[in-house]
Amino acid sequence: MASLAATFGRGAMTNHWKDIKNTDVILVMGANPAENHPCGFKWAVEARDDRGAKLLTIDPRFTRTSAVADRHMQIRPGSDIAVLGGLIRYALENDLHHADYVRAHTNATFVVGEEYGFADGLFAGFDEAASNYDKTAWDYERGPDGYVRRDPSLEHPRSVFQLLKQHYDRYTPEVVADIAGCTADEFLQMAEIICSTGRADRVGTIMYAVGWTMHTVGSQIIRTAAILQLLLGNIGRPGGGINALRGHANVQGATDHAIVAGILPGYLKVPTPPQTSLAAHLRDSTPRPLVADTVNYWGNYPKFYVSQMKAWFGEHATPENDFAYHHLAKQDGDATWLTIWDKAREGTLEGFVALGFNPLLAGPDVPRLLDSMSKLKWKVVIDPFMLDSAEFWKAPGMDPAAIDTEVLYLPSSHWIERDGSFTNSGRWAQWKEKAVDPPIGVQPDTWILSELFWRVKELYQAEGGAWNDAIQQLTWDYLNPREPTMVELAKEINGYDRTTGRLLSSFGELADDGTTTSGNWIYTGSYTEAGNQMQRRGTADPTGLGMHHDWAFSWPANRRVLYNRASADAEGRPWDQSRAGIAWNGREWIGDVPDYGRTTPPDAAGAFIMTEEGVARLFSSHLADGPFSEHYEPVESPSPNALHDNVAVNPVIRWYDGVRESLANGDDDYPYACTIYRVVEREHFVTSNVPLLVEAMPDFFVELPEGLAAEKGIPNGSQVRVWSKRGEVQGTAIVTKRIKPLRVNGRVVWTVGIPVHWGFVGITQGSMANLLTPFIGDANTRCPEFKSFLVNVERA
Amino acid sequence: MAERLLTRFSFFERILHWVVGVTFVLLLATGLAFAYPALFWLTALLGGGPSARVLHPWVGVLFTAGMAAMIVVWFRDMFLSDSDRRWLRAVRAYATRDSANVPPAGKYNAGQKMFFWVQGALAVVFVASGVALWFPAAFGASFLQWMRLAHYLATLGGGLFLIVHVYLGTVAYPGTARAMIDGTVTERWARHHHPRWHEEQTRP
Amino acid sequence: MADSLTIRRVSASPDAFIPISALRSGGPTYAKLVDIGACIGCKGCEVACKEWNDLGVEPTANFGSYQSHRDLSPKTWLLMRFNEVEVDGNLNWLIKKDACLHCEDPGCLFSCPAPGAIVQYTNGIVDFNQESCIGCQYCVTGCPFDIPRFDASTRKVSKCNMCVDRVEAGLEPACVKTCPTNAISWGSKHDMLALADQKVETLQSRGYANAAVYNPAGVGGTHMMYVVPHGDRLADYSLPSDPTASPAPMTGLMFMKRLGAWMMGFGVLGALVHFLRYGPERLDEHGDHRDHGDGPAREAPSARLGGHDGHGDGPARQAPSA
Repeated sequence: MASLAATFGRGAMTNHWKDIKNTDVILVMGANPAENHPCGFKWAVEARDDRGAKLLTIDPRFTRTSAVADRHMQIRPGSDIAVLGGLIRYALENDLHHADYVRAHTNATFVVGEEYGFADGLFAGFDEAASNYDKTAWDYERGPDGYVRRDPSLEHPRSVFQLLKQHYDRYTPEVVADIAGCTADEFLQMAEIICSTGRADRVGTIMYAVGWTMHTVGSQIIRTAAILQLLLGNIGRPGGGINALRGHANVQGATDHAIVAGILPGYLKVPTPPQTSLAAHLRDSTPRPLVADTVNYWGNYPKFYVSQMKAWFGEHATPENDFAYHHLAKQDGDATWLTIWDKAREGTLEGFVALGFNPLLAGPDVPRLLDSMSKLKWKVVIDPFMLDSAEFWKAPGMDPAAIDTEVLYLPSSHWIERDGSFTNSGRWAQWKEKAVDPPIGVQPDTWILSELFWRVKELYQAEGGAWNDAIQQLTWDYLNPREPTMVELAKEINGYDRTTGRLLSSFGELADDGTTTSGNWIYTGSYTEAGNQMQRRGTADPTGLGMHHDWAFSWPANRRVLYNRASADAEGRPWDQSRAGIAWNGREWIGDVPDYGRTTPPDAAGAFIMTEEGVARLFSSHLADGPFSEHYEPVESPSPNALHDNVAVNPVIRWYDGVRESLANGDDDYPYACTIYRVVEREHFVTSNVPLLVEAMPDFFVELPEGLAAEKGIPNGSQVRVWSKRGEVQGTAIVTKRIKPLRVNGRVVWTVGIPVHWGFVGITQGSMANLLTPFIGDANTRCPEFKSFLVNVERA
Repeated sequence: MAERLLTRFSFFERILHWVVGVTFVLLLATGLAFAYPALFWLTALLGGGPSARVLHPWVGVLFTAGMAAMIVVWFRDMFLSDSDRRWLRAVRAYATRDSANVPPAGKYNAGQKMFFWVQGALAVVFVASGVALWFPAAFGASFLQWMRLAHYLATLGGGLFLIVHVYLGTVAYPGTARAMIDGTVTERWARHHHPRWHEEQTRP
Repeated sequence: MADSLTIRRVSASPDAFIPISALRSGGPTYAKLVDIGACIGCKGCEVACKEWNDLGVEPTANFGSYQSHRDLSPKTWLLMRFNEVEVDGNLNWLIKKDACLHCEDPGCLFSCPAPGAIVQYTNGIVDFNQESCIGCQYCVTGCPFDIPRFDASTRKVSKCNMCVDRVEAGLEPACVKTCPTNAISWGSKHDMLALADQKVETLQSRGYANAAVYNPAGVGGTHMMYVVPHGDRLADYSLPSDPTASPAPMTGLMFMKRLGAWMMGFGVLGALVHFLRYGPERLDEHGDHRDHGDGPAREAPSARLGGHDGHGDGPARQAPSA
């Protein structure tokens, strides 16, 4: 998500599920929607069959998505940037990019400062000691008016367009083939189809998921795809976009409500220790326009922030006390997954509450994770099912007597046992009803969390303690304060006008003076005086494009396609009349809810209202590892970096203690590339408790290419052992034609595939795939590298 | 005055006959029930459809055992001799009771011997195809279809045999059935039907 | 559409073999159309089938495949079969939904000896009625698609019943309802044939020159049809290329049964005629025929009784032979 925000201003699927039916080319890469998003995948099939769209997969394996695709290309895990960079080069080299779009809607025209450069795998501003970049080296060049200098001709040698061309010029089809292991020919055939959408009358979409995010270069893979889609003019248009497919029914909703580290609900920022006052926080967090003609909607940050503080602390948040700014913890360093467990391993993290997930199976390097968990003093697991995480002390090879951790397991209700909302990948918040009652004695999360809050509050009342005010003053204004209803919470998230008590209908009404509340500004408008908008089920579709504005609520502002201003040209005419996002009729925009002022003329501001540039960023200083993307090898790679082996891996990733020693790089004992993934029959780990789904895919298995299996004497269906430098797994061999040997930098590389769904608790037990994976993550999000590492294989 | 009686079948032979006879009738009845919907009610003999289907092969096992023993016991007696061949050529005379023209038979006439062999052959077909139909999972559909045909054809042959056998053994030739009941026949009967055997039995 | 379960044919009954053309059906027949080209092999249908029909769980083990079970079973009426095949150098992962095809001329029904154990409704669904099933498994031998499965514990055969209980209530079968990619369609046979043609055209335009509808004539067409991308490689989908409801041995059997009935009838009749003509044999004291013809038989009942006197208990026992 970080990289989409870095490019477009918002971190979410740009379009929505049903919109995929409007496309001409679907590139599925870093995803396997047939298996992991089967219900949404129907729209891809519909585009293929009803529109004649081309469905393409690029993946280390021939998946069930590939089975229904028009074309598949196998690549080596971790080579995505090379392939996408090659596509960028192909589009530019063959003049297939959508020139008018690029000029109008991207920062191609922006001139970058002289300090910027790229050499030998490093961008300008690299600080070797700190392993990070000084991003001022990537600043734009400013004109005399203080705004960024622009060159509409795109010919300035330091214009983003020229720098982009220069940067990706190295990704020739031959280099792509060398790195990814496909053939140049295969690549060119793919490129021809994908880059055929760089025209006004054609549009293409990209579907990706954790196959991209779960790499040390995950954010930059997505950046590369975003750049490609911008060059092809595919962002903001129906049938286009770069579509992040979220793994569970409500991952998007959870992210929107700050389940990831480093943000507050609505993608507001967590205050940091140097921000000693609200003013300082707002100053650091509110972007200033870089050009005159930008909406720069994030300029409204103070309104969102203050309204959120009013929602949380009510009358206790006043201008005098910086709207209770000091009640919030200031985050020092990061609190990402890897860092949390690193702290546990050091012994500086004492306790852990796991609510609604299975951390032991969900993190990399399970042996290290078990060691870290064992150092916790206490651990609380709240889940409808008994989890491996709650019984980590029973994991194979553990000695319970040596573990002092106190584990509490609280059975909670399942989501089918309560009402509430799901926000799907396409940002549609859809209200659902409770289907069945929870078993007797099982409480919903809202009850558990309220109880926790009240008991802590009462303890504080009785005994006092640090930060007492923050706890005593927290708003907990519910009919039954011991168990808020979902409707109460939804209204609170939407927000009120504090003066009239009216539910707000749009975040445009939010104010920074304390007169409004909003728990999450992007959801303002989801529960208005007109009722629960998420519960709407209108099926009208006047455009025929499947926007369905009367169905549920789509954040922001019920907008169906993000950045839809870019679906029209500079004058506001849709690029493609048959697939118009919005159109300017001389007085106002019609079509989708415009991602732009409804009556703002087309030339008044840039199309991308969330960026301080007003346009989308081909060049972006918002990521840690470079303004453009660059191919770096996985930390465990079967191949040297063909571009710059002196900087083989991402130079700004965080190396936790002991991780370098746990890697097998350059070690002949671990010759095979390995990747892990999910299968459609199972949903992560929870389905270990569902007999019919266990029956459908009963056992842990290892997918092996036929040639490798023959070499190793492993018959189909036999037991195999797979081990990395960190751990080993054992399962049934599925010997398949669907993984082929690749020629990478002149040598043959075999790929082995492993599914993640097994653990030691549940109806069937099986090896945990994460026994193998390395404890390393993306340079920006720290999302762990689950997708490429090295192993060895033998018959068990 | 009571007529002199000759023992024709031993106790063991009679047991064998009735084992085969009773099982065959049950098998035929249930088999016909499976073959002809109009006769499906005959499955009642073995407790109705499902249990008839379960018991039919087990009855078949008994039948097979009886048949096997019968073959062993009577095997030697059943070879055709030259006079048998003459008898066969004169079968029309036998059927029309023109006894003057029927060559004298030994203990078994050639017709009986032929029935024995045909019955034996049919039993082999019954058993082979029956086993396949008993365990259909072990065989392919097409093979089983041929086995059904074979089993039916054997049924047909066996059924026709039974009609002739029962008719001749009961109402057509009074005095015959007792050979399979108390094991005896009258001398008069023996002299007429099996003169050479009668001779052997009465030779001092 | 007609939803009542009017019965068209019943196994082991005089209706069983009536040619379809002679049957006046009450309404449109239903059909399920499986577009193999749009199937992602998610097994949603497999699980939905088990859920709806309460088939229960059977323990499975991975045998080196994505396929959940090696074969259909009494608890698995629907099985996704996976097969990796290279066609012209391109890898194809063929995924086929294996279940009853609901033949217009159902070989199972023709083979069934138990009256009413297999019925075909006028809507085209072929259903097993377990209460009448005798467990003979003749349906297994009669099915050209190897679909019915015998449960040794209940001694009944079962198979997909096209969720006849749902259909009767105006709903689509559970598998159709579940399919996430609309790879399974449901409607009248007429509509589904039209849709199938359309889908074949789409496949052909996508480069599948041999795409075809699988609706084999040998069984009179089916009520579950497939759209097959590689119509020239049916064997790779484990679909018989020329299935028939009346294979040679079964045709032979049907003929022989009729002939056999006559033969046995004539056999009994022949014996009766023979008896009427020759009557019971009567022997004189020497074992010679007392007479010929039937007239005297009626005149000498005592002699006949005399013959039977030999049965007398006492004397018989007293006169054992040497």
